[in-house]
Amino acid sequence: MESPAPSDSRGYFLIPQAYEGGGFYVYGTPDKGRGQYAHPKLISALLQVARSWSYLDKRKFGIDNISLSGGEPFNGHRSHRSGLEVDIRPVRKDGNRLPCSIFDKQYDREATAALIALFREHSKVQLVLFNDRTIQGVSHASNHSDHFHVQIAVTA
Amino acid sequence: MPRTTATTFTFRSLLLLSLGICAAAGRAPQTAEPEFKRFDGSYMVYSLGVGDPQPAKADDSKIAFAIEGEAARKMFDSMAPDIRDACTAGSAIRVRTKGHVSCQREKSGEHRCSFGFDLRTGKSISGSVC
Repeated sequence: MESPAPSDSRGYFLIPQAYEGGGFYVYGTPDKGRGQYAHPKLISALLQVARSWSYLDKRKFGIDNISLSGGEPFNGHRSHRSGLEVDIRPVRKDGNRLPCSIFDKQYDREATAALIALFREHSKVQLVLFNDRTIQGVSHASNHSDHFHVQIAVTA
Repeated sequence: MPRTTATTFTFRSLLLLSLGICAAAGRAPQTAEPEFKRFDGSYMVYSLGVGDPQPAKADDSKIAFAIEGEAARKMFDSMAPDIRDACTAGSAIRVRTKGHVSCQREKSGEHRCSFGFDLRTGKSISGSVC
């Protein structure tokens, strides 16, 4: 399959797919970033958090689905059409770029809490959905044990 | 005049009767015979969670369905009432869930539904995340 266009009909851009200088990697279905078209404010937030994270930890965190080109309905998601929502993998102890649930031995609660705290410190973040209730500032939602969902506001 | 009054009364009675019949017809259950119809949708076979799906394995295989169009509309209409959903709050999207079946009406008026099954156990599971 061809690589996706770097920008879509809304003028939203794919997030960097090989951002080696900062603290994140990308993954997800569909692949090649086809589900990672982001509102400019979300790109700014992700780069800012990734930069702060890279000072704290050498492991990279995983960025999953954001929105499809043009904001088309995203199968498997009830939202993710605005480019303002992003899913993030919990941090693994081994740092491998693999799935991780809060029930896995590899789940690094402390590091994940630190990462979520960085997101929450960002002024535009308005909601974090995640099922580890020991972490402050997150709301419970079904099927959010293997990723946390971050939503930012357009104005804040 | 008596005749005019009678005529008016009769006309009004017929009108009310007609309206009553129409209203009753509108409330009546659909009488169309059930039949299978084609629908618009997609599916994904995977392992682990629908929020971070991986290729299916011999001992872990699940399926998620995403339904659109008329079938989704009929599902949504049958699943009242709306619920408050944290991930769509404030977006004008209306969400209805029953068990692991989730349907929504988009701001545009389009309908979408999702549900899934664990293919190793047959159990119903969710077909979508936030």
